[in-house]
Amino acid sequence: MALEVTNLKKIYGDKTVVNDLSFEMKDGGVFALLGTNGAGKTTSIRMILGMLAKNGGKVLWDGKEFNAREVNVGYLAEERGLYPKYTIMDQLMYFANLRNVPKDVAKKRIKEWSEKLELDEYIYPTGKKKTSKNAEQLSKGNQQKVQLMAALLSDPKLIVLDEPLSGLDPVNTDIFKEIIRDEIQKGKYIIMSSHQMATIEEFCSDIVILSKGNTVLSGDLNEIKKGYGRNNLLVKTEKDILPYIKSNNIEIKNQTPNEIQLHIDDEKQADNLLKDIISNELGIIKFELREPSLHEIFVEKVGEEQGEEE
Amino acid sequence: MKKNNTNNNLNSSDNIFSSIFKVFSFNYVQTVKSKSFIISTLISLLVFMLFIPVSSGLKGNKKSVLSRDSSKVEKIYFLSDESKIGFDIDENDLNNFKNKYDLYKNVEIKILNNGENLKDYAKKESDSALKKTLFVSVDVDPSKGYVIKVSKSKDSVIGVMEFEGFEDDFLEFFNKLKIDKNKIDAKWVEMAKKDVSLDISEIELVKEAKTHKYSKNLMEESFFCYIIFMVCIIIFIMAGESITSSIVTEKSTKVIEYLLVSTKPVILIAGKIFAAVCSVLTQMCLYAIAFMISYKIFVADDVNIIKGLHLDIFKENITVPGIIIAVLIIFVGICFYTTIAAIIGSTASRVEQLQETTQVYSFFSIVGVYLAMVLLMKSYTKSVFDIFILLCPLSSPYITPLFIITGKISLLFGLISFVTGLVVFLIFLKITSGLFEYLILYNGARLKFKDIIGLIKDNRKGGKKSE
Repeated sequence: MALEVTNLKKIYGDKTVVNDLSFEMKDGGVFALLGTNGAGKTTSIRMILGMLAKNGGKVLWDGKEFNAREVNVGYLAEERGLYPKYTIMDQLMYFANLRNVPKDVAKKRIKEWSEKLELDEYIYPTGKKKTSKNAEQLSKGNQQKVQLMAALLSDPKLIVLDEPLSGLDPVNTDIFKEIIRDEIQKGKYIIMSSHQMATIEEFCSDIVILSKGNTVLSGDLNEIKKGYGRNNLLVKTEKDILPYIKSNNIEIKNQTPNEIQLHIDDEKQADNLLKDIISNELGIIKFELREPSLHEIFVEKVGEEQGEEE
Repeated sequence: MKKNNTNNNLNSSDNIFSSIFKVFSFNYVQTVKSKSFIISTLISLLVFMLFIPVSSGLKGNKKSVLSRDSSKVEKIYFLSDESKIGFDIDENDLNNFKNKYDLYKNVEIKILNNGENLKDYAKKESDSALKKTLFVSVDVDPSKGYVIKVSKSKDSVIGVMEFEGFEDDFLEFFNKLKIDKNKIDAKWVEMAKKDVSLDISEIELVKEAKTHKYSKNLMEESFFCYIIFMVCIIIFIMAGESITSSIVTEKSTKVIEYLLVSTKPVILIAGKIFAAVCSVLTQMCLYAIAFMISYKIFVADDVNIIKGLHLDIFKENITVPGIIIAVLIIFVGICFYTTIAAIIGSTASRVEQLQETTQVYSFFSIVGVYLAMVLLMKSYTKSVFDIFILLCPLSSPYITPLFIITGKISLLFGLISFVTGLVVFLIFLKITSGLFEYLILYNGARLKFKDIIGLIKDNRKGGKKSE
């Protein structure tokens, strides 16, 4: 089973909003689709899912042309999408029915998911009024949970999550993350689009970064990071270290009461600074050499792209 | 057969009708479950149930008000001036009236002399007797002719239907009396009263002359045509507005994105169309049942309201092929109008834009209705304009089926109208299908007509304008 996206293109009038997007998912796991606002992430997702016609490229699933209406796909859209005046139960049964999930199976799964997502009181209320609540009666976070439920009801093999954690409180964020981990364990193929880089780093093995429709970076995240090398140095000492940082021509990226974040060109600079700290007895509290974060890579790459255009 | 969906692929052979049915059943059930539907239907049912008794001025026993089996009238005071009306109405004449109508056989009739005042006699009656008394006077107005005034007391127990019935009976009696008293032959009076009719014929030069009779318009021939016309208007307008509203709601709430992953836009629209039409038909059926129940309860067996609808024109001309063609024309009309509604609904992105979209749809409906109404209210002369109305897809669903089942046009013409409508609908669908896939996900200011034309042109060229 594999998903192949090759040279996906979308043109609106004389504007190319997605230009030759290509990536591949050979095994299950999470693939990250990253980009600035308006980069073309949602358009790409819509083309992959067949909601929008492509102007070029192809999407293959298992070597055959991908059709979201034939392959079992679960989709969580970026924006909330529920009928405000209909009950949650009716809507979930409808979405399940459209995905050909038998009624009894759908009811069983709704029960299981509502327990997992802590939505029992809304879908199976006790008390005087025993009908499921309407969507508009739920908070935004709970609506998002319902939509996740709708996406997973058919036990899909391919799951597309567009900003799944946006607007969630920490407790619900953990619930969502747990569910994503479970789905990864089951060998599902997950395409995730998000602006929360920390979350992406937690789950994703492969990424593509889009900027104004163009691919600025793609590949295995670990390989990308290795390519950058370990050029982030986090330092904290008991005494003032700034003169030694300047003398070693090291760039200060960020300075907070807790640490100083430095950018080094090579590890020799870090070695020299460490020698200075030890020899001058500055008192080391923290000295950490690490790879750049995805956030840093993203900002650098997108900034580069935008700089080139200017 | 239900499929256990534990594998990777869905049932790819799930046919289009089954998919449409899924969308239809959900939309239909949610529509009829909605508070607005239930409340509006209940209120309308109440109106239909109470229409007959309220409009007939119900008092006392329901059946007796509408029935002519018995009369509450016990006394009639009668006044006429021979010098004014030209003849004398005596006791004998009024006894003939009583004998003619069984209802009044026990009624006491008192003839007042010239110069006496009905009001004086009214004052003399006791309150209870006054409630069951009628006061009748005959006079002459130079501009109007004979004028008969029938009065009753303010708190009379004589119901509106009975009162009106007495008026009709006395009028009939007096019309005959005036002819008899003036010694005019009733036969010549009838001839003079009748309309002059004009028959126009066309002579076919090849064969023998054939006569084509030019008849009255449909409204004059049968009031039932107007009822059918209004029912069609309600179905088309309500169904279209329901679809527009549904699409705008799904777009504004972004539900449409979920639905499009599982279902093609054409299936979504087809399901909505059937749901909208069925929910309107459900209401129509409930109203019809309520009216029939009300009719059964409140109207006596001897009162025939149906007779006034003049259904002969249908009985004489209705055929099974005619009904089939009529239904097909209405079906294509529904498809055409609801597709227009779907396109218009898709131009909106937010609920705030719903009113504008409804107005645009109403505009199209009104054009069709007005065109059809022209032909409903005028004689059919087979002019170019008449034929245009019968063939135009906007107006034909309202009027052409009526013309077929009343025999105004041939089955062949009806078939031509159906084919014309179908061809126009399919061309319209072809032009707009690609556009619809774009519009359904469009999010922005409401698109105007010129924007849509631009998009259609762009669509044909293979690209679309940026959002």
